[in-house]
Amino acid sequence: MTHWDVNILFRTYRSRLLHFVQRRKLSWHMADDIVQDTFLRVVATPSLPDPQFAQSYLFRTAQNLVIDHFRRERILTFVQEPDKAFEFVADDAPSPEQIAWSRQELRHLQASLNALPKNLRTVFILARLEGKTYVEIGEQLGIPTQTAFSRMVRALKLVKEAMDKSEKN
Amino acid sequence: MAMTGENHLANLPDTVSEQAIYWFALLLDGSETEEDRRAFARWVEADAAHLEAFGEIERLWSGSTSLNLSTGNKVGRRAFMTGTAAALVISAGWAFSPRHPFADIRTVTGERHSFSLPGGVEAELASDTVMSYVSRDGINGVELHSGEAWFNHSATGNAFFVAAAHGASWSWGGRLDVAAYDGGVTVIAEQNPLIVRVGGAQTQVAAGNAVRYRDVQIGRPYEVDLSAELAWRNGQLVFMGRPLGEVVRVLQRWQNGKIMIIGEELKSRPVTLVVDLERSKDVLPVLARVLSINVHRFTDYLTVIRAA
Repeated sequence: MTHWDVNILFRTYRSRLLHFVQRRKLSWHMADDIVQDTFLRVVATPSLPDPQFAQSYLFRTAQNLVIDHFRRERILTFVQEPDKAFEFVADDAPSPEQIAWSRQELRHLQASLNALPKNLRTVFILARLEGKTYVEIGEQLGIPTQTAFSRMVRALKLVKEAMDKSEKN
Repeated sequence: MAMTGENHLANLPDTVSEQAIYWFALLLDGSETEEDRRAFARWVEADAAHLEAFGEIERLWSGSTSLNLSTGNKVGRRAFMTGTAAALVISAGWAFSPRHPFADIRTVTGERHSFSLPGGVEAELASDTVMSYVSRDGINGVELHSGEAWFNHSATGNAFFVAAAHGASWSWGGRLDVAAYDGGVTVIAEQNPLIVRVGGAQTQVAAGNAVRYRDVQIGRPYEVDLSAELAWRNGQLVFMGRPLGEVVRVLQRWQNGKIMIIGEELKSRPVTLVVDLERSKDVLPVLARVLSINVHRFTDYLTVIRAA
Protein backbone atom coordinates (compact mmCIF):
# COMPACT_ATOMS: atom_id res chain seq x y z
CA MET A 1 0.00 0.00 0.00
CA THR A 2 1.56 3.23 -1.12
CA HIS A 3 1.31 5.94 1.47
CA TRP A 4 -0.12 9.22 0.26
CA ASP A 5 -0.61 12.23 2.47
CA VAL A 6 -4.29 12.70 1.72
CA ASN A 7 -4.40 15.89 3.72
CA ILE A 8 -1.79 17.55 1.55
CA LEU A 9 -3.53 16.26 -1.55
CA PHE A 10 -6.84 17.80 -0.43
CA ARG A 11 -5.25 21.14 0.15
CA THR A 12 -3.19 21.10 -3.00
CA TYR A 13 -5.63 19.77 -5.53
CA ARG A 14 -9.20 20.33 -4.43
CA SER A 15 -9.73 23.71 -6.07
CA ARG A 16 -7.72 22.74 -9.13
CA LEU A 17 -9.83 19.63 -9.60
CA LEU A 18 -12.97 21.74 -9.23
CA HIS A 19 -11.78 24.11 -11.97
CA PHE A 20 -10.94 21.13 -14.11
CA VAL A 21 -14.30 19.42 -13.63
CA GLN A 22 -16.35 22.62 -13.99
CA ARG A 23 -14.76 23.28 -17.34
CA ARG A 24 -16.50 20.15 -18.54
CA LYS A 25 -19.81 22.04 -18.44
CA LEU A 26 -21.07 20.59 -15.18
CA SER A 27 -23.02 22.47 -12.58
CA TRP A 28 -21.03 23.64 -9.60
CA HIS A 29 -23.01 21.23 -7.45
CA MET A 30 -22.26 18.24 -9.66
CA ALA A 31 -18.61 19.22 -10.02
CA ASP A 32 -18.24 19.39 -6.27
CA ASP A 33 -19.81 15.95 -5.94
CA ILE A 34 -17.40 14.50 -8.46
CA VAL A 35 -14.39 16.03 -6.76
CA GLN A 36 -15.59 14.65 -3.42
CA ASP A 37 -16.00 11.24 -4.98
CA THR A 38 -12.48 11.49 -6.40
CA PHE A 39 -10.98 11.99 -2.95
CA LEU A 40 -13.18 9.32 -1.46
CA ARG A 41 -11.66 6.86 -3.90
CA VAL A 42 -8.19 7.92 -2.85
CA VAL A 43 -9.08 7.03 0.71
CA ALA A 44 -10.60 3.69 -0.27
CA THR A 45 -8.16 2.45 -2.92
CA PRO A 46 -5.92 -0.35 -1.65
CA SER A 47 -3.14 -0.04 -4.23
CA LEU A 48 -2.45 3.54 -5.14
CA PRO A 49 0.22 4.29 -7.69
CA ASP A 50 3.50 5.80 -6.59
CA PRO A 51 3.00 9.26 -4.99
CA GLN A 52 4.85 10.89 -7.87
CA PHE A 53 1.80 10.02 -9.97
CA ALA A 54 -0.63 11.51 -7.45
CA GLN A 55 -1.53 14.46 -9.65
CA SER A 56 -2.17 12.47 -12.79
CA TYR A 57 -4.03 9.85 -10.78
CA LEU A 58 -6.39 12.43 -9.27
CA PHE A 59 -7.05 14.17 -12.57
CA ARG A 60 -7.56 10.89 -14.36
CA THR A 61 -9.99 9.65 -11.73
CA ALA A 62 -11.97 12.91 -11.85
CA GLN A 63 -12.01 12.82 -15.63
CA ASN A 64 -13.27 9.22 -15.63
CA LEU A 65 -16.01 10.11 -13.18
CA VAL A 66 -17.09 12.97 -15.43
CA ILE A 67 -17.15 10.65 -18.43
CA ASP A 68 -19.11 8.04 -16.46
CA HIS A 69 -21.59 10.69 -15.36
CA PHE A 70 -22.27 11.89 -18.88
CA ARG A 71 -22.49 8.34 -20.16
CA ARG A 72 -25.11 7.46 -17.55
CA GLU A 73 -27.09 10.57 -18.44
CA ARG A 74 -26.87 9.74 -22.12
CA ILE A 75 -28.02 6.14 -21.64
CA LEU A 76 -30.92 7.38 -19.54
CA THR A 77 -32.26 9.36 -22.44
CA PHE A 78 -32.79 6.15 -24.43
CA VAL A 79 -34.98 4.62 -21.79
CA GLN A 80 -38.67 5.41 -22.05
CA GLU A 81 -39.45 5.35 -18.35
CA PRO A 82 -37.09 7.75 -16.65
CA ASP A 83 -38.52 6.87 -13.22
CA LYS A 84 -37.46 3.31 -13.62
CA ALA A 85 -34.11 4.21 -15.07
CA PHE A 86 -33.51 6.69 -12.31
CA GLU A 87 -32.57 3.83 -10.05
CA PHE A 88 -29.17 3.33 -11.57
CA VAL A 89 -28.26 6.95 -12.00
CA ALA A 90 -26.19 8.03 -9.07
CA ASP A 91 -27.28 11.61 -8.68
CA ASP A 92 -25.85 11.65 -5.21
CA ALA A 93 -22.40 12.39 -4.04
CA PRO A 94 -20.47 10.29 -3.68
CA SER A 95 -22.26 7.57 -5.52
CA PRO A 96 -23.64 5.27 -2.85
CA GLU A 97 -22.30 2.22 -4.63
CA GLN A 98 -18.85 3.71 -4.39
CA ILE A 99 -19.07 4.10 -0.63
CA ALA A 100 -20.20 0.53 -0.55
CA TRP A 101 -16.89 -0.59 -2.05
CA SER A 102 -14.97 -1.93 0.87
CA ARG A 103 -11.21 -2.12 0.72
CA GLN A 104 -11.48 -5.86 0.53
CA GLU A 105 -13.81 -5.68 -2.45
CA LEU A 106 -11.49 -3.26 -4.22
CA ARG A 107 -8.61 -5.66 -3.56
CA HIS A 108 -10.64 -8.45 -5.18
CA LEU A 109 -11.47 -6.22 -8.12
CA GLN A 110 -7.81 -5.29 -8.54
CA ALA A 111 -6.86 -8.96 -8.41
CA SER A 112 -9.45 -9.91 -11.00
CA LEU A 113 -8.21 -7.18 -13.34
CA ASN A 114 -4.61 -8.29 -12.83
CA ALA A 115 -5.64 -11.85 -13.65
CA LEU A 116 -7.15 -10.96 -17.04
CA PRO A 117 -5.39 -12.42 -20.07
CA LYS A 118 -3.12 -9.73 -21.46
CA ASN A 119 -5.05 -9.14 -24.71
CA LEU A 120 -8.32 -8.58 -22.83
CA ARG A 121 -6.69 -6.52 -20.13
CA THR A 122 -5.12 -4.19 -22.68
CA VAL A 123 -8.51 -3.43 -24.23
CA PHE A 124 -10.04 -2.84 -20.80
CA ILE A 125 -7.24 -0.47 -19.79
CA LEU A 126 -7.35 1.52 -23.03
CA ALA A 127 -11.08 2.06 -22.61
CA ARG A 128 -11.00 2.75 -18.88
CA LEU A 129 -7.79 4.72 -18.44
CA GLU A 130 -7.71 6.56 -21.71
CA GLY A 131 -11.39 6.58 -22.62
CA LYS A 132 -10.63 5.27 -26.09
CA THR A 133 -13.39 4.13 -28.44
CA TYR A 134 -13.44 0.62 -29.93
CA VAL A 135 -12.41 2.09 -33.28
CA GLU A 136 -9.37 3.76 -31.69
CA ILE A 137 -8.47 0.65 -29.70
CA GLY A 138 -8.72 -1.44 -32.88
CA GLU A 139 -6.43 0.94 -34.72
CA GLN A 140 -3.91 1.05 -31.89
CA LEU A 141 -3.73 -2.71 -31.48
CA GLY A 142 -4.13 -3.55 -35.17
CA ILE A 143 -7.31 -5.57 -34.63
CA PRO A 144 -10.83 -5.15 -36.10
CA THR A 145 -13.23 -2.89 -34.19
CA GLN A 146 -15.53 -5.83 -33.65
CA THR A 147 -12.69 -7.78 -32.02
CA ALA A 148 -11.95 -4.89 -29.63
CA PHE A 149 -15.64 -4.91 -28.66
CA SER A 150 -15.82 -8.66 -28.10
CA ARG A 151 -12.61 -8.56 -26.02
CA MET A 152 -14.22 -5.95 -23.82
CA VAL A 153 -17.28 -8.17 -23.41
CA ARG A 154 -15.03 -11.10 -22.42
CA ALA A 155 -12.98 -8.96 -20.05
CA LEU A 156 -16.11 -7.74 -18.28
CA LYS A 157 -17.46 -11.28 -18.11
CA LEU A 158 -14.29 -12.63 -16.47
CA VAL A 159 -14.17 -9.76 -13.97
CA LYS A 160 -17.83 -10.23 -13.12
CA GLU A 161 -17.38 -13.98 -12.62
CA ALA A 162 -14.33 -13.48 -10.41
CA MET A 163 -16.18 -10.92 -8.31
CA ASP A 164 -19.24 -13.17 -7.96
CA LYS A 165 -16.98 -15.98 -6.81
CA SER A 166 -15.18 -13.85 -4.22
CA GLU A 167 -18.55 -12.68 -2.94
CA LYS A 168 -19.63 -16.29 -2.35
CA ASN A 169 -16.48 -17.06 -0.38
CA MET B 1 -20.07 0.88 -31.17
CA ALA B 2 -22.18 0.76 -34.31
CA MET B 3 -23.78 -2.58 -34.92
CA THR B 4 -25.84 -1.46 -37.89
CA GLY B 5 -28.23 -4.01 -39.18
CA GLU B 6 -27.36 -6.42 -36.39
CA ASN B 7 -30.12 -8.49 -34.94
CA HIS B 8 -29.67 -7.93 -31.23
CA LEU B 9 -31.93 -10.76 -30.28
CA ALA B 10 -29.72 -13.17 -32.17
CA ASN B 11 -26.64 -11.68 -30.53
CA LEU B 12 -27.88 -11.65 -26.99
CA PRO B 13 -26.37 -14.23 -24.66
CA ASP B 14 -28.50 -16.47 -22.45
CA THR B 15 -28.06 -15.14 -18.95
CA VAL B 16 -29.29 -11.75 -17.82
CA SER B 17 -25.85 -10.92 -16.43
CA GLU B 18 -24.21 -11.61 -19.80
CA GLN B 19 -26.88 -9.60 -21.58
CA ALA B 20 -26.15 -6.70 -19.25
CA ILE B 21 -22.44 -6.98 -20.07
CA TYR B 22 -23.21 -7.01 -23.78
CA TRP B 23 -25.30 -3.86 -23.51
CA PHE B 24 -22.84 -2.13 -21.22
CA ALA B 25 -19.96 -2.77 -23.60
CA LEU B 26 -22.08 -1.75 -26.59
CA LEU B 27 -23.09 1.60 -25.09
CA LEU B 28 -19.68 2.29 -23.59
CA ASP B 29 -18.07 4.46 -26.21
CA GLY B 30 -21.07 6.36 -27.50
CA SER B 31 -20.95 5.13 -31.08
CA GLU B 32 -24.10 3.02 -30.89
CA THR B 33 -26.84 3.44 -33.48
CA GLU B 34 -30.37 4.67 -32.93
CA GLU B 35 -31.54 1.10 -33.37
CA ASP B 36 -29.12 -0.09 -30.67
CA ARG B 37 -30.67 2.45 -28.34
CA ARG B 38 -34.20 1.35 -29.05
CA ALA B 39 -33.26 -2.28 -28.56
CA PHE B 40 -31.57 -1.45 -25.26
CA ALA B 41 -34.63 0.46 -24.08
CA ARG B 42 -36.82 -2.55 -24.92
CA TRP B 43 -34.46 -4.82 -23.00
CA VAL B 44 -34.49 -2.53 -19.94
CA GLU B 45 -38.26 -2.28 -19.94
CA ALA B 46 -38.78 -6.00 -20.40
CA ASP B 47 -37.83 -6.89 -16.83
CA ALA B 48 -36.78 -5.07 -13.67
CA ALA B 49 -33.97 -7.61 -13.22
CA HIS B 50 -32.36 -6.33 -16.41
CA LEU B 51 -31.76 -2.88 -15.05
CA GLU B 52 -30.42 -4.31 -11.84
CA ALA B 53 -27.95 -6.47 -13.72
CA PHE B 54 -26.90 -3.47 -15.79
CA GLY B 55 -26.34 -1.55 -12.56
CA GLU B 56 -24.02 -4.30 -11.32
CA ILE B 57 -21.79 -3.90 -14.37
CA GLU B 58 -21.91 -0.11 -13.95
CA ARG B 59 -20.67 -0.63 -10.44
CA LEU B 60 -17.72 -2.80 -11.49
CA TRP B 61 -16.76 -0.26 -14.10
CA SER B 62 -17.04 2.57 -11.61
CA GLY B 63 -15.02 0.67 -9.02
CA SER B 64 -12.21 0.10 -11.50
CA THR B 65 -11.76 3.83 -11.99
CA SER B 66 -9.57 4.29 -8.99
CA LEU B 67 -7.55 1.11 -9.30
CA ASN B 68 -3.95 0.93 -10.26
CA LEU B 69 -4.00 -0.43 -13.76
CA SER B 70 -0.38 0.25 -14.49
CA THR B 71 1.43 -2.56 -12.68
CA GLY B 72 3.94 -4.08 -14.99
CA ASN B 73 2.01 -2.92 -17.96
CA LYS B 74 3.48 -0.47 -20.42
CA VAL B 75 0.10 0.66 -21.65
CA GLY B 76 -0.99 1.70 -18.20
CA ARG B 77 2.27 3.45 -17.50
CA ARG B 78 1.94 5.41 -20.69
CA ALA B 79 -1.57 6.34 -19.70
CA PHE B 80 -0.28 7.85 -16.49
CA MET B 81 2.17 9.96 -18.42
CA THR B 82 -0.63 11.10 -20.70
CA GLY B 83 -2.62 12.12 -17.67
CA THR B 84 0.25 14.18 -16.35
CA ALA B 85 0.68 15.92 -19.65
CA ALA B 86 -3.03 16.70 -19.79
CA ALA B 87 -3.00 18.05 -16.26
CA LEU B 88 -0.03 20.26 -17.03
CA VAL B 89 -1.64 21.63 -20.16
CA ILE B 90 -4.79 22.36 -18.21
CA SER B 91 -3.00 24.05 -15.36
CA ALA B 92 -1.10 26.24 -17.80
CA GLY B 93 -4.41 27.87 -18.70
CA TRP B 94 -5.24 29.09 -15.21
CA ALA B 95 -5.12 32.75 -14.40
CA PHE B 96 -3.39 32.26 -11.09
CA SER B 97 -1.83 29.50 -9.10
CA PRO B 98 -4.16 28.24 -6.39
CA ARG B 99 -1.26 28.18 -3.98
CA HIS B 100 -0.51 31.92 -4.38
CA PRO B 101 3.14 31.55 -3.45
CA PHE B 102 3.66 35.32 -3.47
CA ALA B 103 0.62 36.37 -1.48
CA ASP B 104 1.34 38.95 1.22
CA ILE B 105 -0.93 37.70 3.99
CA ARG B 106 -2.60 34.41 4.72
CA THR B 107 -4.13 32.40 7.52
CA VAL B 108 -4.04 28.65 7.94
CA THR B 109 -7.11 26.47 8.37
CA GLY B 110 -8.86 27.02 11.69
CA GLU B 111 -7.06 30.28 12.44
CA ARG B 112 -8.40 33.87 12.57
CA HIS B 113 -5.96 36.73 12.41
CA SER B 114 -5.94 40.58 12.35
CA PHE B 115 -3.64 42.69 10.22
CA SER B 116 -3.07 46.42 9.79
CA LEU B 117 -2.99 47.32 6.12
CA PRO B 118 -1.38 50.41 4.60
CA GLY B 119 -3.72 53.44 4.47
CA GLY B 120 -5.27 52.92 7.92
CA VAL B 121 -7.32 49.82 7.15
CA GLU B 122 -7.72 47.04 9.71
CA ALA B 123 -8.32 43.58 8.28
CA GLU B 124 -9.47 40.44 10.00
CA LEU B 125 -8.95 37.22 8.07
CA ALA B 126 -11.07 34.10 8.51
CA SER B 127 -9.69 30.57 8.28
CA ASP B 128 -7.68 29.61 5.22
CA THR B 129 -7.65 33.06 3.62
CA VAL B 130 -5.07 34.39 1.16
CA MET B 131 -4.63 38.06 0.19
CA SER B 132 -2.19 40.31 -1.68
CA TYR B 133 -1.61 44.07 -1.65
CA VAL B 134 -2.47 45.68 -4.97
CA SER B 135 -2.99 49.20 -6.24
CA ARG B 136 -5.14 50.61 -9.04
CA ASP B 137 -4.95 54.17 -10.37
CA GLY B 138 -2.70 55.05 -7.43
CA ILE B 139 -5.25 53.76 -4.88
CA ASN B 140 -4.19 51.07 -2.43
CA GLY B 141 -6.33 48.01 -1.99
CA VAL B 142 -6.11 44.26 -1.62
CA GLU B 143 -6.85 41.27 -3.78
CA LEU B 144 -8.63 38.46 -1.96
CA HIS B 145 -7.54 35.22 -3.65
CA SER B 146 -9.63 32.91 -1.51
CA GLY B 147 -11.33 32.85 1.87
CA GLU B 148 -13.08 35.62 3.77
CA ALA B 149 -11.96 38.90 5.33
CA TRP B 150 -13.58 41.75 7.22
CA PHE B 151 -12.23 45.28 6.78
CA ASN B 152 -12.53 48.39 8.89
CA HIS B 153 -11.71 51.27 6.62
CA SER B 154 -11.74 54.10 9.13
CA ALA B 155 -9.46 56.64 7.40
CA THR B 156 -12.00 58.55 5.37
CA GLY B 157 -10.94 60.80 2.55
CA ASN B 158 -9.15 58.07 0.62
CA ALA B 159 -10.74 55.23 -1.24
CA PHE B 160 -9.98 51.57 -0.60
CA PHE B 161 -10.95 48.50 -2.62
CA VAL B 162 -11.09 44.73 -2.30
CA ALA B 163 -10.66 42.90 -5.59
CA ALA B 164 -11.89 39.30 -5.77
CA ALA B 165 -12.44 37.07 -8.81
CA HIS B 166 -13.78 39.26 -11.66
CA GLY B 167 -14.88 42.23 -9.59
CA ALA B 168 -13.91 44.76 -6.95
CA SER B 169 -15.70 46.42 -4.02
CA TRP B 170 -14.94 50.10 -3.41
CA SER B 171 -15.25 51.82 -0.06
CA TRP B 172 -14.87 55.47 0.93
CA GLY B 173 -14.81 54.69 4.62
CA GLY B 174 -16.75 52.11 6.60
CA ARG B 175 -16.79 48.41 7.40
CA LEU B 176 -17.20 45.62 4.87
CA ASP B 177 -16.82 41.86 4.57
CA VAL B 178 -15.81 40.00 1.41
CA ALA B 179 -15.95 36.22 1.00
CA ALA B 180 -14.56 34.39 -2.04
CA TYR B 181 -15.36 30.70 -2.09
CA ASP B 182 -15.76 28.26 -4.95
CA GLY B 183 -15.60 30.90 -7.65
CA GLY B 184 -18.42 33.03 -6.18
CA VAL B 185 -17.98 36.25 -4.19
CA THR B 186 -20.26 37.69 -1.47
CA VAL B 187 -19.78 41.30 -0.36
CA ILE B 188 -21.43 42.68 2.80
CA ALA B 189 -21.64 46.41 3.53
CA GLU B 190 -21.70 46.54 7.32
CA GLN B 191 -21.41 50.28 7.74
CA ASN B 192 -21.65 52.87 4.91
CA PRO B 193 -22.49 52.03 1.33
CA LEU B 194 -20.11 50.37 -1.15
CA ILE B 195 -19.82 50.34 -4.89
CA VAL B 196 -19.26 46.87 -6.38
CA ARG B 197 -17.93 46.83 -9.95
CA VAL B 198 -18.12 43.64 -11.97
CA GLY B 199 -17.51 43.35 -15.69
CA GLY B 200 -18.22 46.98 -16.55
CA ALA B 201 -21.41 47.20 -14.45
CA GLN B 202 -21.58 48.76 -11.02
CA THR B 203 -23.99 48.25 -8.16
CA GLN B 204 -24.44 50.30 -5.01
CA VAL B 205 -24.82 48.28 -1.85
CA ALA B 206 -26.36 50.08 1.14
CA ALA B 207 -25.25 49.43 4.72
CA GLY B 208 -26.81 46.23 6.07
CA ASN B 209 -27.04 44.72 2.60
CA ALA B 210 -25.02 42.19 0.67
CA VAL B 211 -24.53 41.32 -2.97
CA ARG B 212 -23.22 38.20 -4.72
CA TYR B 213 -21.33 37.94 -7.96
CA ARG B 214 -19.87 35.11 -9.98
CA ASP B 215 -17.85 35.50 -13.20
CA VAL B 216 -19.21 38.76 -14.64
CA GLN B 217 -22.77 38.26 -13.38
CA ILE B 218 -23.84 40.28 -10.36
CA GLY B 219 -27.05 39.74 -8.40
CA ARG B 220 -29.36 42.22 -6.70
CA PRO B 221 -28.41 43.54 -3.25
CA TYR B 222 -30.36 41.88 -0.44
CA GLU B 223 -30.71 42.51 3.28
CA VAL B 224 -28.61 40.38 5.63
CA ASP B 225 -28.54 39.56 9.31
CA LEU B 226 -25.21 41.20 10.11
CA SER B 227 -24.80 39.59 13.51
CA ALA B 228 -25.21 36.10 12.05
CA GLU B 229 -23.10 36.75 8.96
CA LEU B 230 -20.23 38.32 10.87
CA ALA B 231 -20.36 36.06 13.93
CA TRP B 232 -17.16 34.32 12.79
CA ARG B 233 -15.27 37.37 14.01
CA ASN B 234 -16.35 36.48 17.56
CA GLY B 235 -15.40 32.84 17.11
CA GLN B 236 -18.90 31.68 16.27
CA LEU B 237 -20.74 30.39 13.25
CA VAL B 238 -24.47 31.04 13.32
CA PHE B 239 -26.92 29.15 11.12
CA MET B 240 -30.62 29.83 11.21
CA GLY B 241 -32.66 27.31 9.28
CA ARG B 242 -29.84 26.80 6.77
CA PRO B 243 -29.63 23.59 4.73
CA LEU B 244 -27.26 21.03 6.24
CA GLY B 245 -25.26 21.01 3.01
CA GLU B 246 -24.47 24.70 3.42
CA VAL B 247 -23.70 24.30 7.14
CA VAL B 248 -21.20 21.57 6.38
CA ARG B 249 -19.64 23.60 3.56
CA VAL B 250 -19.02 26.50 5.95
CA LEU B 251 -17.79 24.22 8.76
CA GLN B 252 -15.26 22.76 6.39
CA ARG B 253 -13.62 26.10 5.92
CA TRP B 254 -12.58 25.92 9.56
CA GLN B 255 -11.18 22.43 9.74
CA ASN B 256 -8.92 20.19 7.71
CA GLY B 257 -10.32 17.21 5.96
CA LYS B 258 -13.50 16.65 4.10
CA ILE B 259 -17.05 16.25 5.34
CA MET B 260 -19.31 14.52 2.90
CA ILE B 261 -23.08 14.24 2.97
CA ILE B 262 -24.77 11.43 1.13
CA GLY B 263 -28.30 12.10 -0.02
CA GLU B 264 -29.96 15.18 -1.48
CA GLU B 265 -32.73 15.11 1.09
CA LEU B 266 -30.24 15.22 3.94
CA LYS B 267 -28.28 18.04 2.28
CA SER B 268 -31.38 20.20 2.16
CA ARG B 269 -32.55 19.50 5.71
CA PRO B 270 -32.77 22.85 7.55
CA VAL B 271 -30.53 23.26 10.59
CA THR B 272 -30.42 25.94 13.28
CA LEU B 273 -27.14 25.91 15.10
CA VAL B 274 -24.48 28.02 16.78
CA VAL B 275 -20.98 26.62 16.49
CA ASP B 276 -18.11 27.58 18.75
CA LEU B 277 -15.15 27.69 16.38
CA GLU B 278 -12.74 26.75 19.13
CA ARG B 279 -14.60 23.47 19.40
CA SER B 280 -15.90 22.96 15.88
CA LYS B 281 -14.47 19.43 15.89
CA ASP B 282 -17.11 18.47 18.44
CA VAL B 283 -20.03 19.74 16.40
CA LEU B 284 -20.59 16.68 14.25
CA PRO B 285 -21.37 14.20 17.04
CA VAL B 286 -23.87 16.72 18.43
CA LEU B 287 -25.45 17.11 15.00
CA ALA B 288 -25.65 13.35 14.74
CA ARG B 289 -27.73 13.15 17.92
CA VAL B 290 -29.96 16.12 17.14
CA LEU B 291 -30.72 15.18 13.54
CA SER B 292 -30.48 11.41 14.05
CA ILE B 293 -27.95 10.98 11.28
CA ASN B 294 -24.96 8.70 11.00
CA VAL B 295 -21.59 10.42 11.24
CA HIS B 296 -18.82 8.09 10.21
CA ARG B 297 -15.25 9.28 10.57
CA PHE B 298 -13.15 7.25 8.16
CA THR B 299 -9.87 9.03 8.79
CA ASP B 300 -8.75 12.44 9.97
CA TYR B 301 -9.40 13.60 6.45
CA LEU B 302 -12.80 12.25 5.74
CA THR B 303 -16.12 12.21 7.55
CA VAL B 304 -19.21 10.84 5.86
CA ILE B 305 -22.71 11.86 6.97
CA ARG B 306 -25.65 9.70 6.01
CA ALA B 307 -29.29 9.39 6.97
CA ALA B 308 -29.72 7.07 9.95
